[in-house]
Amino acid sequence: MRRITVSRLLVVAMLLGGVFLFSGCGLFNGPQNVFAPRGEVARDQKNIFFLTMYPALAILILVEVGLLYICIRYRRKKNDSGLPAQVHGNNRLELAWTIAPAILLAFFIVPTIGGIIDLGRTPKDAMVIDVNGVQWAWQFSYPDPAGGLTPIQAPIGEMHIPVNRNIEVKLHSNNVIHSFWVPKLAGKTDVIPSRENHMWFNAFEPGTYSGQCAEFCGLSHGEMRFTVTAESQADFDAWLKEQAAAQRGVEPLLAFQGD
Amino acid sequence: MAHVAAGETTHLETNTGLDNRKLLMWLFLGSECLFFGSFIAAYLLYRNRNVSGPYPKDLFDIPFTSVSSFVLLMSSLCMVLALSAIQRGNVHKMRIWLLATAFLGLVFLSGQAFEFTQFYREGLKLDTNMFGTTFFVLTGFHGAHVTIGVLILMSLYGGSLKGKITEENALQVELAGLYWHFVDIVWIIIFTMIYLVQPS
Amino acid sequence: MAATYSPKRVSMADAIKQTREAGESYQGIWSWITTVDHKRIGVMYGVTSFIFFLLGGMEALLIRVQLARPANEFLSADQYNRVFTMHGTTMVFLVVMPMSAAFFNLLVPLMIGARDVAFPRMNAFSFWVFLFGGIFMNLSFFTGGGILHGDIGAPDAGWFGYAPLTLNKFSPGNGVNYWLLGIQILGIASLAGGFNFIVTILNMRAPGMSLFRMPLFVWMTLVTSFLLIFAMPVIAVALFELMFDRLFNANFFNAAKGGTPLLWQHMFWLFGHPEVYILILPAMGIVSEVLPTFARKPLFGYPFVVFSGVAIGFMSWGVWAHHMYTTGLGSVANSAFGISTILISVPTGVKIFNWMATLWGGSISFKTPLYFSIGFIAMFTVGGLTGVTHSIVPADYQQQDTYYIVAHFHQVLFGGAIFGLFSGIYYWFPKFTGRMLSEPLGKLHFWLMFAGFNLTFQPMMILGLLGMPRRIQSYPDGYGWGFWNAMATFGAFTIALSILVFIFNVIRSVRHGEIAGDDPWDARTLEWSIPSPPPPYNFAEIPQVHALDDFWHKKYAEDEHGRPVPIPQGAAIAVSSHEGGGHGVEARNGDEGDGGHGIHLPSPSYMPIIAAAGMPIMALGLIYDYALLAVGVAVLIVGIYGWALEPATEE
Repeated sequence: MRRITVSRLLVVAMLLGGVFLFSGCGLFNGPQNVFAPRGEVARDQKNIFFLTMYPALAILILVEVGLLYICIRYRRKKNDSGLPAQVHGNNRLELAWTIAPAILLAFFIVPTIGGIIDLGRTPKDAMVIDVNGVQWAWQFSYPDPAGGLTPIQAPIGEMHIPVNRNIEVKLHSNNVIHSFWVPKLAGKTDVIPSRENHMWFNAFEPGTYSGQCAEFCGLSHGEMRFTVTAESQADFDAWLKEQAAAQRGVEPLLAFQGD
Repeated sequence: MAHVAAGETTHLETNTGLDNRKLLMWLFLGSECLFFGSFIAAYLLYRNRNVSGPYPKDLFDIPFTSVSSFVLLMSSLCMVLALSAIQRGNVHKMRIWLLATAFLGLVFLSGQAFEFTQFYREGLKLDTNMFGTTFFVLTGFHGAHVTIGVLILMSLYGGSLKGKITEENALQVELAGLYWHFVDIVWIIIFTMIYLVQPS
Repeated sequence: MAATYSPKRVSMADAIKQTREAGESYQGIWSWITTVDHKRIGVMYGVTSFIFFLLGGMEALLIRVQLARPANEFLSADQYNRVFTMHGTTMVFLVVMPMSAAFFNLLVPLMIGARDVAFPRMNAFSFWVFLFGGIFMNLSFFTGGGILHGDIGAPDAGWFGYAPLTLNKFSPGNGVNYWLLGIQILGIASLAGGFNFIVTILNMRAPGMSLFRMPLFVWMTLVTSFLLIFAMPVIAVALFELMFDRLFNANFFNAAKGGTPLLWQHMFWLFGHPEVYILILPAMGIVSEVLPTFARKPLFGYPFVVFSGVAIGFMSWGVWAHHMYTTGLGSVANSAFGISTILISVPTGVKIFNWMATLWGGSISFKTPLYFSIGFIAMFTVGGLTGVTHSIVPADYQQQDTYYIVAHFHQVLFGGAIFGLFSGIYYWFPKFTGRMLSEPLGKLHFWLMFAGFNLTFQPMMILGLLGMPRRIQSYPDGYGWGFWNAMATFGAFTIALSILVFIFNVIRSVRHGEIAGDDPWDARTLEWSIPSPPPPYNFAEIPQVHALDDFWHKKYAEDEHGRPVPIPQGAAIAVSSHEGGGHGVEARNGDEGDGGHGIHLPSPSYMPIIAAAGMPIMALGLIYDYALLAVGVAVLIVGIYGWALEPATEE
């Protein structure tokens, strides 16, 4: 049957496509690529993703190839007559393919829980940055290094962090739900009114990382982007001092929002 | 004709032995459990989250509500008696007990209306605080169920005057009874969870 | 308590005679409006949901055109938000659910050997409520400044409607009101259907049709119906709470007064995850019927497939928070829901293996229904396995709310549910129209749809991993998303083309298709034992069931090697009477109340449509004017009283 060949070709093409996917070709990269982590949290998340993705891919190939094989081998040929044996089932076989995936999946449970706990535990030495999600921008504020009580506001949508330093962000919203996400540094955490969420991350190397709101938050949700600039401690300190100086007279954005 | 009176060859009973309508009523009540359960859960979630008064302890008049709860309980008893009357073929007695059930239901509803106005006068509105929101919506939906129950009872009463309720279709009374008892039980849960068990 | 109420019984001969006399009454538009025949209701459900499918598909194309290239300005952000909200809402509530309901209606009574559902008028009511709810929901498009100027007024807060975005403060206007009241109305239709099919399946099976002799589709209908009756009240409560917040200033989701927006998410997903299985289980049931027929083998491990379906039904209640991993529920909750989510893939995997084993060793005829069923297995597997990668909580922190998720659930709901439903359409079309759909066109449809599907949704997986969030109206150049989005858009139009092929095929085949006969596929279940299209009373004689796949066993005996051999025609089969076929007897068993299986004549009724009409009027009244609300309530009460007082059958 010619159509079978077509479908076989299609699956081969899909498999090749899969190989292509991991070849690191230019089409598969970008500033928010979660498979190109630049921080500890994103790296751990990628690794645990791969830990399940490879077995999943293996099972996928097994099922798809198996399906194709069955379709080809057991298709009714032109001169076929009569009927196949009426097999109703095989309890042992079925138990096997109930239990085997369960065991395989059980192996996922350990790293899952380990990952949840690791990521949930904020390092003690983390520097705290307050994050405010508003409609539709991000506002970051830092404790005053000079010891002042007024936090220092960064320009809208610009976060700076020292490289190789653990950062804890405290996430606030007094409007709708947003989600704080810098794909190359860490997965997201929702920013929910009436609730203070927090997450931590760090950056291995200096650079500017792009992030954006990941929870639909109204009209300009798609425009709610920001950048995280990781720089040396000295550069960061200088930047923060600059912001502190520039702060005079700048109202926090929240003042515009009403309650 | 090969299939003379096909109906004759088939059986009359349902597979489960339960009448279709009765099974339907049970399923409906099961579904209703999730309905009231969700509202009660919302009430419990929000019971300690009022940013301003008035609070439950300022408003609840436990003796008053206990009496109206007792009235509703007694209505269930009347409902049982109405069913047992029609199952014995006594339409006249059934009518009396149906009316009594509906009357007690109305007494309960008047009590609720009185309670609502009382709370409203003391400053509790739907938008006042979380208590106002969850209390009025939960008990309001329960009251709506009682109201529908009273309408069903009155319809049965009307039907019985036209001779439509007989011993043979006592099931109709039984179904109304199932609904009525369910609404009653829900009230007992609401009364316990909301009036009697209060946060300190 | 056994029913003691005796319906008026009519002999078959009388029934046929009466029908011929009243022949005209079974034709014309009024006969459709007042029909209580499950097959006609099923057809109306199918046609209506297909029209909504076209609507939702056009919305999808608008989305794809907008996203085809970076910084596109085809749709404004406002339009885009409204269109994607309506796309999601339409596809879930107005397409997959009612199209599944169409199959329940068409098939369940036939498969269990009943003459109708337990409550035919409630069934009609369910359809009309669905239709009016769908129209009401789409009316919202016209509430903007003017649809012709592109100023549309549909809801714009997403199909998931997360509070507090849905509150008046953040979503002024009536869009969200239409959305929440629309879903509330549709929920009533689903509840009515759910109750009806549970009672039908539990109570109205033919003699000998024990639960474990029921076709798998009927089992999946049963599980789905139970999920419906327990899940719909939860969303009803959530929607009521939102309604009170929006229309009466209540505080359920108002953080300023102590409300918590997360309550919405918990309730929405406590409904929403069983809902996912409400969407997929019927398609799984269809596939479980199609595969054995074309492999000429019984379903492999029938009890396992049944139990895995039931297990999925139960477990679906314990996984809702996996939609909420990133909301900061804490390590304990995330771990617990991570584990439950990992485990729910076990029964799903069992089904896939059992389907493959059904094909194994078969003698497979590659007809169009089978193509779609195999497409279902192939694509649903991708969806299931990507689902496993979501269940790994730390990985999901990266995947949540990206196109990777969009890809995943389209693999499940399009690659799964829609492929399964199309498989069912091709498979049962001959039964209900009496004509075959064209095979070459069907296969063309399949290959176009299969290719288009993969071109659309596989790139989305890559987009998600490249960090593209969901629900963004536009994206700048330089993110590496342009190419994949263009490919997805191309794929979406390929799917649209395949749907045009399907429409052409249906229109052509309804008039000129090959005559099907009773049993064109050599199938296994009872519906194939009666004429195509089935007479209104379904079975001239209620079948006596002796085994699973009873109809097959009436056609084939086993030789000494366990091989099936055909039984010569007419020797053992006295299955159906063909007399009185075509349009015929308005006869069925048990309408409301009698619970019996005697043939009697039920009346068509206006009351279901009147009662149903009350609902959208009430909803409009809540939005615009309470006087209208009173009118709606009055209409509803008139409908219900009329319903209760009219006799179920002509006496």
